[in-house]
Order: sequence, then structure tokens, then C-alpha cells
Amino acid sequence: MDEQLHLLTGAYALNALDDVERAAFERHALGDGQTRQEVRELSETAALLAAGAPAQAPPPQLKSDVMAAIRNTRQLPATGVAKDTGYATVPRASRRGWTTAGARPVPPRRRRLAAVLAAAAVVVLAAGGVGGWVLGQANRNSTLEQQLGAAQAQQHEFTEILGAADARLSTADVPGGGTVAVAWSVSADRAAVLARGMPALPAGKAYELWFITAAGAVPAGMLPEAAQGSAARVLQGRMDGATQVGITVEPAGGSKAPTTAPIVLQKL
Amino acid sequence: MRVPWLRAADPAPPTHEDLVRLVALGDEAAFGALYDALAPRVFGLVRRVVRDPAQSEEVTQEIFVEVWRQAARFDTDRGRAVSWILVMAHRRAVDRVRASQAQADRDLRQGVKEYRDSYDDVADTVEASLEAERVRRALETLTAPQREAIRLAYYGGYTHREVAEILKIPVGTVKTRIRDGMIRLRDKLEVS
Repeated sequence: MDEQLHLLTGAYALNALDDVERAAFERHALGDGQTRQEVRELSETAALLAAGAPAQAPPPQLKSDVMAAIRNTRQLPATGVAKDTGYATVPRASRRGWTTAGARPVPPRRRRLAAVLAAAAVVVLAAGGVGGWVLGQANRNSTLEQQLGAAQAQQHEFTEILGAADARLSTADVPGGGTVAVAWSVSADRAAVLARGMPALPAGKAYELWFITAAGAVPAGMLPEAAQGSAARVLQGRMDGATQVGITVEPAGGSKAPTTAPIVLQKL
Repeated sequence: MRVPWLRAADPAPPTHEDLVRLVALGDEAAFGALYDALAPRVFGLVRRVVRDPAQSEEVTQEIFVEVWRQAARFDTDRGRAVSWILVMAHRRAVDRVRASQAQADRDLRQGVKEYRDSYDDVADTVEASLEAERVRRALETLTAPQREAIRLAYYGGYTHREVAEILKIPVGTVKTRIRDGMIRLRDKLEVS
């Protein structure tokens, strides 16, 4: 059967394999790049077949049930996904499609902060050029250790902001794609930016961060070059009464004053 | 305070991908919006595979809770958010059908007869969306045996071995029919 496993791409995409066959297919056939690519495409195709089933609004009560359920459901961190290997590396626990079972309720306030912190930590590590999957090898490589050290310092600063009693977080969409979350604390007098899915910039350009005060825009550092469009950064300097945080596109070395219109402007 | 280059945030409506990214940050309002946008498609698909209304509601709830849990693991490099959710939905629906005792006892022949009947009703009466129409046309370009095998597997929730049993043909034949048909669909629907 092994030599024919690659012929099961279609059946796999349609969920038409039993558990044993699926496991065999994932173990053997998905190691091959061509097969993996075919599975990815056929899975997208299978998703389109869903349009062949008539849409039907569920009973209104179901939405209340779902909303109540998620308030008691902890979100998973973004770790465990290797970006470049597609369906093959969905971790074993979630081998059955994207599904895993078992959620533990946590108190809402803690859950929310924990989610924010987890997101911050993940983005910080990505910003340092250290994907989660590389962490196991970090001790063999001093450059990685330095990056980790810097990432940990950033993470400490994030914690300072997000752990403050008056921590605030708001999110905004970026025109052209992406989401920016700005976190700040007046008592810590610091602010941070978490960006996801930001549009890629041409060579020599970068995103610059600004504190906006009554006197004008104060440079607050550059957003690190994005790994998969995600980046995080604690703004340089103190908030010092700033009323807004802005992001503009500037030459990679940064500008002393904004030279372009802000793509994001977030009120503090 | 006035900033010369101050300008309002872009009011463009968020895409499904935008919503998933916000859901990953714990945004319940974004989750509600995502639910409103996709629940009819998810529930429609689940009803089609699971059939029983009460079980379909349970499965739909499970699916959306999974979307909430796994939002941070959604990766735009791997496709559209709606595909991610519908793939997960189909998987859950199929798992439910296979786990359910009533379905385990089902007579495959009876199953396929019912399934064919219900499919024809649906094809006649539903006001097709643009995407549904595209899918219908693409399915029409398949050979009849390819189409039958894919419909049984996807909408019927049967394994390829069950499909072989229903159609009384070798498993190897079903395997290639499904794969050839899916590849043709992929090309017709321009999925790359």
C-alpha cells in the first residue's frame, strides 16, 4: 500500500480516510513536498465544495450558546505551527484536522490578560528572529542567545506595561492589510505596539513609531523587520503626556520627523 | 490637538482574515462578527453531512469554539480563513457521522439512496449563490463516476472504502476517481 499512498491526496482532502489510513498517509506521504502541495490545493478545493451545500442560518439561540462557551474557553498560543511546511506539521495533538479536544475554563480577567501576554511573547520572539520551533537549539548558538536575551528584555518591558493596573489595549486595522494593537499604561508611562500581517515594505523602507504630543511627533523607534508581517516593539522613551501613537513609513534608518502620512494613529 | 497629517482610520470593512487575527487577540466582538458572517455556511454544510438538526447544532457550536481556541494558529500562508473554517467544519461533521451509533448501523445502500434523493431536491430548490453556481458548474465538468465518488465522500461523509462498497468497485478505482476528479475541480476552480 505504501507505494500508492500518494494517490490518497484526494481522499485525504475529502476526509474520506479512516483513522489508520490517515495516520499512515500523514506519516509517510506528507514528507514529500509535491504531495504536500497537492494536499494543500485539494483541501482548498474541498473547502469550496462546501458552497455546494445550501447555506442555512442556525437558530438564534446557538449564537448565545457559542458566545457563552468561548468566554469559558482558553485560547491556544500561536506556537506549534511551522510556517513553511503546510499541513504536514500540524502537531500530533491536532492531527485530526485542526481540531483538538479539551478546554479548561479560567477566570475571564486572567484569561484576557494571559491571552494578551501570550500574544505579546510570541510576537516578541518572532521579532527577535527566533521562531518557537528553533528554541530547542538556542543553546548551541550564541547569536541566537543574544537575540533571545534581547527578546526577553523586550518581553520584560511588555510585562511591565500589560501587568500594570491601568493597562489598556486597543486595536486598529491597517489600510492595505494587517492589524496593530497598541498597549499602554499611564502609570508605567510606557507604550508598546504589536503588529500582525503588516504590508511588506520595499527595500530601504521601514515602519517608524511616534509619540504624538501637543508639540508634535516624537520619534519612538523603528518597528523591527517583520517576520511574516508580525512585529512587536516597546516604544522608546516615555509617554510623557502623549495623546496618540502613530506609525509611518520612513527610510530604514528612521526620520526625525514624519515624512509621510501615518498609516496608523491610535489615541491613548 | 491638531497634527497636520492627522487622518481618520480607514473604515473599510474587515475581511474574514482580519477578524480571525482579532479573535486571536481575544476580541469577542470580532468573534461575534465572524460567527455572523460564516455560521450559515458552516451550519448548512454540517446539516448536509450530519442531517440530524440537534446534532448539527452541537457540531456547529464545537466548530466555532475551535475557531476561538485555534485562531492564533491560523496562518494566512496556508489559505483563506473561510477555507480553514470550512475544512475544520467538514472534518467535525464527518467525525460526528462516523461516531454516531445510528450512522454506524446504517445500511450503506439505504444511505446512498437517501443521499441521492436529498441532493436532487437541494439542487433544484436552492437559490444558488455565485460560489455555489461556480462549484456546480465545475462538478458538471467531471465524469459521472468521478462526481458520484466525490459527492458520496464529501457530502455523504463516507470513507473511500465505503464508497467502493456502495458502488461495488475496487477501492483502488475509487482512490483514483476521487483524486483525478479533485485535481480537475482544482484546475476548474483555479485553486493554486
